Amino acid sequence: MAIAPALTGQPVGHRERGLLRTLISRANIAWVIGSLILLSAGTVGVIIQVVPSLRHLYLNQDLEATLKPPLSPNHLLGTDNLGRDLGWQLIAGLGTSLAIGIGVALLSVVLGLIVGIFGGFFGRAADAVANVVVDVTWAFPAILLAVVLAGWIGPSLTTVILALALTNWAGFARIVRGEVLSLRERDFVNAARVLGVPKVLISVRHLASNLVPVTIVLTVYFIATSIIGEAGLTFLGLGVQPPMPSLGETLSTGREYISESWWPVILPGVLLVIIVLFLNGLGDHLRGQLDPRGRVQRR
Amino acid sequence: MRFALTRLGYAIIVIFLVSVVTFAALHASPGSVISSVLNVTTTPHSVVVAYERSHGLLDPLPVQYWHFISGVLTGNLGTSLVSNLPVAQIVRNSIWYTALLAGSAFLLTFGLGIPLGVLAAVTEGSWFDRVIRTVASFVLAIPNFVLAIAAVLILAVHLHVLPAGGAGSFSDLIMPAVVLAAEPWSLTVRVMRTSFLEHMSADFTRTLRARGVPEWRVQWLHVLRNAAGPVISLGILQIRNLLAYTLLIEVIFTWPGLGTQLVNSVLQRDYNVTLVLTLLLATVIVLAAALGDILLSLVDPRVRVNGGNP
Amino acid sequence: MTSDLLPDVPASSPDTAVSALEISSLQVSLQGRQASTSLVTDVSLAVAPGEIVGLVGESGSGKSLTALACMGLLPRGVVIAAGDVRLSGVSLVGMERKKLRALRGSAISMIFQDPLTSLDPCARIGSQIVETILAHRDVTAAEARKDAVELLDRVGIPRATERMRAYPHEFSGGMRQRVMIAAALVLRPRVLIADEPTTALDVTTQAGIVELVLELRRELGMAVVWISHDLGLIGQLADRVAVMYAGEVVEMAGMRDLFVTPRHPYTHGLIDSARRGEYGELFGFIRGNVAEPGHWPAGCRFAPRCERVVAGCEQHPELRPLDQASVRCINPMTRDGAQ
Repeated sequence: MAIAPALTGQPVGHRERGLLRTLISRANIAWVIGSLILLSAGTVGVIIQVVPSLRHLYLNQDLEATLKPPLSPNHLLGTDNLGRDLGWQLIAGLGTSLAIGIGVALLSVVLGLIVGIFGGFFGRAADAVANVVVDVTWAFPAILLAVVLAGWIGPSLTTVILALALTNWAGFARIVRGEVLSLRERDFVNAARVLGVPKVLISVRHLASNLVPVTIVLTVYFIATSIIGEAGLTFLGLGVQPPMPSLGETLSTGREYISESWWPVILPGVLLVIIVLFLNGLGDHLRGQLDPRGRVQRR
Repeated sequence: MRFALTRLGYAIIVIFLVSVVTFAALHASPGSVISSVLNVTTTPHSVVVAYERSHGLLDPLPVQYWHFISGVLTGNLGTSLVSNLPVAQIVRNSIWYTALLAGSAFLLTFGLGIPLGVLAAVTEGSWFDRVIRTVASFVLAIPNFVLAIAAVLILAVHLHVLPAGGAGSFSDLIMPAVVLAAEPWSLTVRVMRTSFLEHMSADFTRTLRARGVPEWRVQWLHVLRNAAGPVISLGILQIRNLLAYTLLIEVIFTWPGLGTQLVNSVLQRDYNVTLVLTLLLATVIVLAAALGDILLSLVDPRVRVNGGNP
Repeated sequence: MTSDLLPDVPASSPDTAVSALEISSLQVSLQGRQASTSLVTDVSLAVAPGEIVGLVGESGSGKSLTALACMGLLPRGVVIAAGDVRLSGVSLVGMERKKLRALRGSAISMIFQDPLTSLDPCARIGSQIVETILAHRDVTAAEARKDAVELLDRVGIPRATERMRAYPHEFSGGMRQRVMIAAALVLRPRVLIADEPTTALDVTTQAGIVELVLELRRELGMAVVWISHDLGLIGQLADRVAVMYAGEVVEMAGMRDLFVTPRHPYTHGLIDSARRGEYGELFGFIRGNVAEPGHWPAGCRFAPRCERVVAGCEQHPELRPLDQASVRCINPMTRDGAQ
């Protein structure tokens, strides 16, 4: 393994510092802090759903105190139509969104990697098959896919995750395939021929160092789109079902009382916007740091 | 021409595959199909089986599929399990509403997006350019259903300027169409602008100027034609998004189009309707992609050689 | 649209008293937010009708900018800060844009390096030539098309009538360059500036293009400025050569003269490394690197790399005549080629 790099020069994707060092540097400190805040909030949101004794925080209905505005006593952000504390509802919903978002992003990435590498490596026939699969997937935007899945297995958490994951992977697969194809043309052929080193070893190493930045950046974007996607699907009733909390659910019920109370509608909305802006910004920033050649397109 | 035919042919194959997949998914187990008609737990098993047999639900899937497809091709789209109306009638009632909404949004997106994008490029750096870009970025940051609800809140509930829902008059169309068009419009403006600017300083533009070709021709013929490529590709993506978001927007504004019908059919487990409407939308998306590719090949001759694939 | 000759530009004549193209003390600068950076300084060059002058230098020497300045095609933020460019005696600097545009393509033309990106990929090649004609001449489209076909034929495109409707990507690199030449010369300009037109082509194709340009020069009596970093190529073509370094002309001489007795140490270095047979590898044997604009030394700009540095090189040298040539050096190499 030590021979290959010397022959082909610096390994593709060689960086001055390690990946981890790059990520945790001074320039990134703001983003790191932001990410930690987001993750903590999400974790809290998940914890209060999972730990039975904490569930009352967002589930507790108080029919004497429905639709109280923000800055009411005991309820910093107000209550919804069933008297549940909106603040805790939002945090719980955020937990759901983040958990789903990360789950979906990881699933899409794994699927995309598999199909992309498969298509890129194994020749024209496999490539053609992969292309057809991608094109068929193309006909089903996330919502439509969710509809079909909901028709098949009923609306639920699984439906949302599957629908979103199956929507994202195609674009990612295409990028991976492109990368694999371009790699095949390069060092891989020469090195293998000259040294007889197993092609697989060289290519895996180069592939990995080329794909890691793209993957990281796209994962961040996927998390953002998945969070919105989950909120939208749940809003329609096709996603997560009550009593599981969700920002989409809060929006949906809030909408029925829109003429009396703006906060069950605006607050989840604002939270969504903030999260999305943050994640998109993080993705852009990471892209600048890790992928100066601009292979990643945000949309 | 050859490219157009091949592309359409491929689209038809994809549509076929899509129909197979959808059909298989929705009819995967006969139990789920009939659960909206009969309460499976309380009805005696023999009655359930008899019902299944009489409706062809125990036949092998390919046979069921064949029945379905031959029905579609002869105009019989099945019957709603919930309302007993012919699905064809349901489609007829709602398709024009969806077409109207999506069509208006489409017009707004490209009718406003392309000229504004070009103008922003041509006046690069000016206040106009900056305003357009800021508005576009701002709009893109807000998920469209949030935008829709906020719009309803402000314009309908508090200001009483526009109605919150329904489809009775023209003013009912304004908010849904604008909200639906918001995201695609922003993207179109940005891409058009960037593409135009890139091509304005491209090598071939310099050559054209070196030959003394008048600047207006350089911009409005050569640059525009080259810059159109990415916008058309984006357009294909936007049509798909438009159709997808229509579902969401129709529900929010209680617009009686295919979207509301489709979502309701799923929630009511009305499989026949779900199947037909899903296929309808998917088919439109695939055809739109094909037409977009063909349009692209007309603008950029290089596409005819590569088949549009990288 | 415009008449055959602009009234203020005299008809071309065999009288070489008026240069076809004359650049005097040209200075091109980049206008920064606070200060300008000089990119080209004090460049003077005169090309007689029918003459080919080679402009040699490495990338960054300012040769392309000089060419673009003559055409009035400098990029945004880059301007002609001083000096003059005259086309058959008529000054182009400060000329009205409309008039300048009318001259471009009809009186003075330019061809560029990469024929793939230099042609509009979405336009048929026939229409690109016809468009040029129609932009300058008041003729019918049919007449313009006839002229285009003739010219395509003349530059060596087989089956010209059919190929008019073809797109650039359907041609090979060499053919595309011929199309560029056709479009540039269709209006019989007096001056052609060729900015490295063969750099992206292989040797055989290159030879074909060179031959074509030489023929056309003879037929049309055009003045040609051929820009290149390849000395060997210049040697095949040019009557006179100007060598540029770091934004200024450092030597100007007749072609044979330059090759036999290079006077400026930089020229000598160029020729030397070319002779070592390293095709294209010209600069490995001159130690050091070219300074960037904005970081030029106040004295002689080549001094940091020069082996003949003497006291006095910290003063910026002027371009002075020496024998039949001009050199910008206080310690030039002399006829006997001695160190």
